[in-house]
Amino acid sequence: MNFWRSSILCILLVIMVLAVSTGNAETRIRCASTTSTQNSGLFEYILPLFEKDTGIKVDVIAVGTGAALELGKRGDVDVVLVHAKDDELKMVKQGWFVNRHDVMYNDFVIVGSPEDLADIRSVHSAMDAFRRIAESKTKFISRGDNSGTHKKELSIWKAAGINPEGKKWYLQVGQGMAKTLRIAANLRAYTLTDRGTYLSLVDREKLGLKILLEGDPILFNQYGVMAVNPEKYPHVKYKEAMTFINWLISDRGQKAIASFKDARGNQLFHPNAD
Amino acid sequence: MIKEIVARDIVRTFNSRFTLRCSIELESGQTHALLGPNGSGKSTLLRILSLLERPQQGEVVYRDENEDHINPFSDLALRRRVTLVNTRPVVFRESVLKNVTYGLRIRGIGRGKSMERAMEALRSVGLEHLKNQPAPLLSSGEKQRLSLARAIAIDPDVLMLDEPTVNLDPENTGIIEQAIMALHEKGQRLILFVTHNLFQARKLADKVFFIHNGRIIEQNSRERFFSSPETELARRFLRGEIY
Amino acid sequence: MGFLIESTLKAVGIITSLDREFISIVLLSLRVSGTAVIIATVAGILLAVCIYQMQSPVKRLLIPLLNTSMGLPPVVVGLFIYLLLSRSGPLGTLNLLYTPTAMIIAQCVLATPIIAGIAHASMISADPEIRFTALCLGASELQATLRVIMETRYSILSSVVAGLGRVIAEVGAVLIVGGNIAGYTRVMTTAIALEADRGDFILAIALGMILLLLSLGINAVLYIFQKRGAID
Repeated sequence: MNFWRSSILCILLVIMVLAVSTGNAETRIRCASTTSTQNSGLFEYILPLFEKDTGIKVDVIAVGTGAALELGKRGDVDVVLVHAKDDELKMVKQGWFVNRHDVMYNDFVIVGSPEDLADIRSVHSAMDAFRRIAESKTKFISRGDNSGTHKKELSIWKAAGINPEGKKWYLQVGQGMAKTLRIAANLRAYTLTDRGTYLSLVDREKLGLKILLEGDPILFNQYGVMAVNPEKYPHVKYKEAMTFINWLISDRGQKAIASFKDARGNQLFHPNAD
Repeated sequence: MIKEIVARDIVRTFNSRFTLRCSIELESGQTHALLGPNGSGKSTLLRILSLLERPQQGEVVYRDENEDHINPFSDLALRRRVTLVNTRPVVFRESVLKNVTYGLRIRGIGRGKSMERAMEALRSVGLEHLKNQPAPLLSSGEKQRLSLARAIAIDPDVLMLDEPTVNLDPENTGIIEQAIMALHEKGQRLILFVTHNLFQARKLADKVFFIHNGRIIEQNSRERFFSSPETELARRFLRGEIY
Repeated sequence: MGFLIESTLKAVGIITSLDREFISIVLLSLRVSGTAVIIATVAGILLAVCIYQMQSPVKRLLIPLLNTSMGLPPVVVGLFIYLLLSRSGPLGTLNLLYTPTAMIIAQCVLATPIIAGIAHASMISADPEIRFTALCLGASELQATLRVIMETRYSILSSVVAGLGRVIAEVGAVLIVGGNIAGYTRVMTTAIALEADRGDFILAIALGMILLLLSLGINAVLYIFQKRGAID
């Protein structure tokens, strides 16, 4: 029958297309990273440089820090670049990852609507600012997605001795940083954000948000990179992952990070490899 | 060529209300008419004899020059020597010509040969001028004629027809009857048709079977059945008292 | 309002300038969804035929199951395929996660029940005497079923088009199993989600326009098939 012949032909064709499309020879590694790094455009700037130097292509899967670490623990990626130093060190100790290095930092800032209902402009520490927000019951938007930013926010609440969980003014949105900022702007609420994402959005989208508190050492945001442990997952491309890590912490990689600027010329990440 | 069809003690029950229970013998070269009131089991018997439905009990044997086919239902090659033309013509969503070549295509007959046979069959029912029309657009009379042409093109040893001219006007009826007679005159074919039209049975049949309540009450030559039927039921049927 | 008009004009600019990144995203979408639908068509029709010919009582269980899976939530399918293909999952050694192949598999799972469901329903609702007539004319069981498929070819074609419309506009499954990797697994829908998140609305609008145009085209084709199916 014609029908069967043509359907078998179709299947064969598809299999051939698939075989061709998956059988390409270039070396690729997978890097799980955070939405904040991806949204800033950093990878688009430094990865072509790395590829030119080494011929290795890096596929970035951008999720929250928590999810990125989880992908590494499952062996679905080769390397992770995230910002939750305590968790990273813990997982290295547990044997999931090896060769962790500091790569760069930026900082978190507390932003809110310019009228500043909780008056946090007059305090100098993030803990005090959070206390004032809680006392005045002004709306606060939390990422609520287990990301590095979320973890940082929770650690500040803890240090301030407040449990915001379940409070009416405390809204967990479970979204990336950009969406969280848009929600905060629309609800005239406070939120904790990394400076890079805030800068990239505030002018372009005319968000009605201002930086109300910055410079507290607790708001320091360290990014680190580490390879998935090849003893746990023999299939990972450990050698290539190490090439990537060594490049990031080399002079060339560090300079590349320093020279990355956003559209208005702000430097978003400061290299500080050990 | 199929010489004879013998059905012995076949039983088919529907919902325990109606039971078909009969034996029948049909010969090649003859045209047989199956008469009887509505719901007497004519169509069921036709489906069983044309190997499309199995009886619950009893056997159907097809006999040709060489052998008796005692298990004809699972024999595709044998089934392809029989065809049944249904009461309600169902045409395929294709051109008239492709409808006719269908039976030949599934038998793996070559394109040139099946075209030739299909055109011949279409001519015998007077549809050759419509060969490129989409079949679903035909009138009901033309569909019925197309349905017969599909069967004629196959050139079956055994042709069964279930009320081939019901609801048709005299012109369409005439064309179909002509085609059946032409097939009969080719000789050796075994033809069986169900009809309510006594004139039609008289015109076409050599032999008549009268069925009532799932049983064959009388079988006779055409002349004897219509002039002096042997059973009281048949007499009453011919007088129009049961239908 | 000015912002919207300005962005839209710039988006039209991207489309007409045939920007390389833009073209490659559109082509990948078409390749992934097209391949998925071709496989799903074959699988869906085979599945429909199997259920259609099935005699056992399992059939009564299978049909509602099939109808339910016509509306599978893409994210759930994505999650399921992710867990299957993940290194720690049963098919991890195939190394398919975060590749276009994984996206094809996920979309295939989404489209197959749609095609099978519509094909099966139209085979059932096709004149039941079609099958009988084919058997009368000497068809084998398989040939009779093929005849029924041929009779419902327009419905089956529209089911294929409907399946394509669903998977090409789907974002949940491809995001989870494809990872939205730039230049490798980034398709129209995941690119739109990302660019909107980044605040780069122009590329998002351009891709959205193409997606809408495609949906429009797909529905036009669907309309033509349904019309032809109704006429003859």
